Amino acid sequence: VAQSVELIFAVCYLLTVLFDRSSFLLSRKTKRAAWMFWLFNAAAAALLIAAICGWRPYMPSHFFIYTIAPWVKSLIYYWTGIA
Amino acid sequence: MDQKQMIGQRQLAWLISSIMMTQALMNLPRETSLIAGINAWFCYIVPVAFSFLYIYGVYRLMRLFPGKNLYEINLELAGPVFGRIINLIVLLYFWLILMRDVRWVSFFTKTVLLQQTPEEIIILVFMFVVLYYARSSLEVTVRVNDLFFPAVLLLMLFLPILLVNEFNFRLNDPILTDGLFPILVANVLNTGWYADLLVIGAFLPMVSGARSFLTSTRHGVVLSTFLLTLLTWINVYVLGPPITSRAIFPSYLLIQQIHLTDFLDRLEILIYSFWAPMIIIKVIAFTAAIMIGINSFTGETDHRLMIRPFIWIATLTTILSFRTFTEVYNFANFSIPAIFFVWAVPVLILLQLLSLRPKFAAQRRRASEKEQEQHEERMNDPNEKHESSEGGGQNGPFFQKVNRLPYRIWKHWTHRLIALGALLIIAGGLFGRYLPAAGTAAGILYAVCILLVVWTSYMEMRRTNQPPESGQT
Repeated sequence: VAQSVELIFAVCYLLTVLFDRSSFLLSRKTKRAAWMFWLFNAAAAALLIAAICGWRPYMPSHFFIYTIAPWVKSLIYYWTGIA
Repeated sequence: MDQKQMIGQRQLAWLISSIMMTQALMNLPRETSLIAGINAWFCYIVPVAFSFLYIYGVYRLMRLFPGKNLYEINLELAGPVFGRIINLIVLLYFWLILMRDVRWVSFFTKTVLLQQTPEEIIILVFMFVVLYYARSSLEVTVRVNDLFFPAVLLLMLFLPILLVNEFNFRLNDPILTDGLFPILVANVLNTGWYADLLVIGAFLPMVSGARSFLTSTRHGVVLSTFLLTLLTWINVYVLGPPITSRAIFPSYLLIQQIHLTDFLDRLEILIYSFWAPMIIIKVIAFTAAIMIGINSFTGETDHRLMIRPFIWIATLTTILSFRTFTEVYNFANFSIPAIFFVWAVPVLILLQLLSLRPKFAAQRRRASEKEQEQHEERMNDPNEKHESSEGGGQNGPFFQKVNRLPYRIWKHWTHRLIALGALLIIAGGLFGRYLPAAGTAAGILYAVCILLVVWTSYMEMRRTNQPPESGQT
């Protein structure tokens, strides 16, 4: 199942890249917009490769999930007498 | 985003309600019941106060910089460098909320409906639907919301009747006898869910006039508060706090309790079919807000340029961020409120302080003059007078008189009723421990207050000078 999922993701990504008209709009856009467009594409591609390879890169959300949330939870449960 | 898109007053109010309610519907009663027990339905008054403060802050900024969205206002107030840093913080916040909602929906769908489908595929399909809608205008999304919101609203209003045979009042009496502290803590936590309201700052140019924005948004907040209070109350009195606080999806479990006849069961599937489009609408609103924010960096107006790569980034970061439901749950209930108070609130205060600088004195003066002019126009408008005299329609003299009341009276009554609601909770919490009847009386009066606030905020919206709603037939 896992391999099928990865295949579906890769095919869908390639299809959206091929059929996305945004890159054709780029010629009429500013240099900054074009730079940002390619940056976003590179980030998406890198994340896709990471997901397909089974890597789990550290992201800003992980700080809130693994550091902030347990701390706030224990504080609130301690205050209210739940834990 | 196309600046010519317009959202009407009612449409904005319903959109706000959808945004604030849909995700909270699934989650809020659980943690609130765990902390506040049977008093869980009193835990929305602080979030309402916060929302009103935020709305007023945005209203002030909207008057100073008409026709600009929150990102553009940030750039005006804080300059190009610091303004972009603030925009980046806002964007990151929206991205976190987007991930939370998408992952929550995927977990819910996987657990309840599609047990065999890989979760990644559920997320992918969900995000493709968002991509399809987000490529078009927000007006389309708002009109879709116009179709589904009344259905969900009616359903929730009928929920007490559908579950009438399941209520157990004796099990949960007396109320407001456990002190105020758990109620306060649950209120503070719920404020994090109400922070979803921040998204509306991205759509300010789509609303015709600051006053319309103010009244519509307030009504949207009050309407969603009423519905959330109602749902939590039903949860507490049907399932009881122990089950509500232990079930993964208590509201879903609640709806499963509807047994109209022996054969008309599985109504939750029908209800899910109304709820699912609303959560998609919410995610589309956040996606559109992020696109508008990205445009503030590139200086572009076409939001379609970045949408495809962004949807992929959002999909993949959502998959990579959370492994288990517990992580999403803790993130939603404990991280988001912390981020809101530590991160978003200081930014909002900073923006208000920046707007008070002498540099913007001319804008403040112009805004005051414009408001004065609009007020005079309203006073001299024959349509307004006509509407006032016809206000009661076929109703009796009392209703005619009430409907003629001006906007500011309704606004004051909204504030008074919210303050009264807060006072009732405090009084009930203080005296309910010694005199249970006082707690019960405070609870009943509080429910009446919440119901009346829906009416006064609606009248506020109605009494605002209302231009014709575009995009409506």
